[in-house]
Amino acid sequence: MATLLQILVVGMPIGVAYAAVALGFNVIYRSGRVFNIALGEMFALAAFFIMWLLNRGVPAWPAVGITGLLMIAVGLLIQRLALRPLLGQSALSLFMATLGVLLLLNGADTLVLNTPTGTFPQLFGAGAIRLPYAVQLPVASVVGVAVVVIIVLGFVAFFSRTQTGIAMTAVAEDHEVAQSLGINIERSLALSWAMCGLLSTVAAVVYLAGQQVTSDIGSVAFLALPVVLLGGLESIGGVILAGLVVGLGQTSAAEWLDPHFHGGASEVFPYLLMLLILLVRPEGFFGWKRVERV
Amino acid sequence: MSVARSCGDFSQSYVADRRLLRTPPQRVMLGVLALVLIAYPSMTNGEWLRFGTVTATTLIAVVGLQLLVGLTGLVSVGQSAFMGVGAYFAGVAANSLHQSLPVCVVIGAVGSMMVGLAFGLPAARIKGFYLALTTLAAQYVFAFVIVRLPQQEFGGDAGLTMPTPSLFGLNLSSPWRLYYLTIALAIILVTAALFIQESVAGHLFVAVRDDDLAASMTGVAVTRYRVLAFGISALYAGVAGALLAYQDGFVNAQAFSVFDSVFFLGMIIIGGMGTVLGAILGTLMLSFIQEAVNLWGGSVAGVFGYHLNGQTGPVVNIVTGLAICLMLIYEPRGLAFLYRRSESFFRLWPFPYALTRARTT
Repeated sequence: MATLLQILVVGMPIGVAYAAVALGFNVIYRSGRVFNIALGEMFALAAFFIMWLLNRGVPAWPAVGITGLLMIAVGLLIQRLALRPLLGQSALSLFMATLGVLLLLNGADTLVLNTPTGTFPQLFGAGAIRLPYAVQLPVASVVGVAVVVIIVLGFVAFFSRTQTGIAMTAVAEDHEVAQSLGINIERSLALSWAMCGLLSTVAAVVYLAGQQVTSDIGSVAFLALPVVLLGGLESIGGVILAGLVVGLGQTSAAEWLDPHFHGGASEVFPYLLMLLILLVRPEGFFGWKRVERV
Repeated sequence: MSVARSCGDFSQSYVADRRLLRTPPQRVMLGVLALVLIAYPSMTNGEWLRFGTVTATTLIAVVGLQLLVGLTGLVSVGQSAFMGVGAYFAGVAANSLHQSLPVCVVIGAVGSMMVGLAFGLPAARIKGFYLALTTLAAQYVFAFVIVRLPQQEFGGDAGLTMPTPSLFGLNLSSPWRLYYLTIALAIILVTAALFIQESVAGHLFVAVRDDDLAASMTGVAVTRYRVLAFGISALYAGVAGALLAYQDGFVNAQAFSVFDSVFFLGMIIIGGMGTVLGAILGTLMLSFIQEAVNLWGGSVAGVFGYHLNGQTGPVVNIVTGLAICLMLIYEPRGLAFLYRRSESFFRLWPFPYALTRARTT
């Protein structure tokens, strides 16, 4: 019982942190049918920039704020320079363009910021709540989970209740039809990339709180991919459930499987889960099933 | 095979129409190319000889990837993992089974193809990005599995050391002999790719790429051809991986990263999707750019008062990323198209007809 509770306490924040990263993929895909593979590098850029500011004596919260603004600008720049010229081209071209952006950002991180590494600040408070069976629940985990859940719910409401959100879904569905209905598709796409930039900052704060920032943290996005697929690419709310499944599954794998596989079963678990999901239900829990017509 | 043929240039039989080399100048050009490739080791020093060998190895992997991505329309972000699989199969065959080089390369190729076929199977259910993501999973599953296989045969974290390459009793350890071996295999495999592209299967790959529903309606076994494309692509990667293992003298899982896979995709984008020529031009161009940055990037940056401190890796990434984005925006048909256009420019000169649309093989 203590083990189960422990898995819950450890796994839930991990899963929710994955959900925070995954949300960036979903927002972009939902509003433009672009699979933004560069998200991991945006996430890394945000983390490095926060560290860079901290190393220069900027207090933690202002550093996060400045980074948020910078990442919005980065998102807008990516959209304006790399993706807008490709508007209307195949999804494959857009995907490839984000691959190019991935390489660009990866190089820029190292060259401009010199990849500042170190321990990321714990912004959500210290201390722990004592649970039964002597399990400690860190306050930071509770706050982190709450922040992500609120943000996800906010986005769900935005995409399903507001005029702008519904318009963005329409843009993704068909650029031409959306434009003929009077929607400014360029502004809509720019907005989604600004959101993505901001979300990558939020994800960095939630995911990295109290953790080591290493030079390869960009690969976190690849860890979040199973979450995206499990939830369904179009579903904003699905990431929470999917994040929990992956986070708890991974923690369980670490608990019960790692001893038999020299460790590392937990690392590969999300990918095996992803392969399984794709085979059984390619559109994930809540993704939109498409009917094709010739 | 050639582009926008000029008036009067026609074939009198189907066989002649599908010939790869149609005109005497093409044969002459091919001869010149062969001479350049043969003379290359005597024209260059060690660094550029190594560059030639590595580029030829990369070319094999990229041509394989082109058959999958360009011809069949399935994006794979896992080509470098399949190279790793080939390298490990070859390494185990050489170390534990004490096989000779040709046998090891074949084992590497076939082993990689088997794994490729397995990872192609999801193509029965899924397509588009989702499939690209399964190949991304291949990359991570590979890195996980390989270091946990029995230490005795697979070397664990340390990897494997390869024996001195030798072919029928001939020692191939000198760089130029390795170069000839690699070039020979690259030529064979590129030619094979040209034939695959022109074969029935090649045309069915294109049918599947252009419209899988329509293809299935006309009786094409879509899934079978998708899986087949994965298999062929992995086979090419396997050969490249096995060769790389012999060139480096060791096999290590970390040498096959997701970034290499992205570079391979970049080569295809820069060269042009869907043609073997595109794979060749893209590989040459991007490899050369990367080599140039590695060799001269530091001194060029020094001129502008910036010190890289030998860290050219990030610059290579930036340049490659820029090249991919610029190529997608300004010439999505790639270098292959530019090459064909210049060809027709010279053929039609002094008439100003520009080639707008053409088959680029």
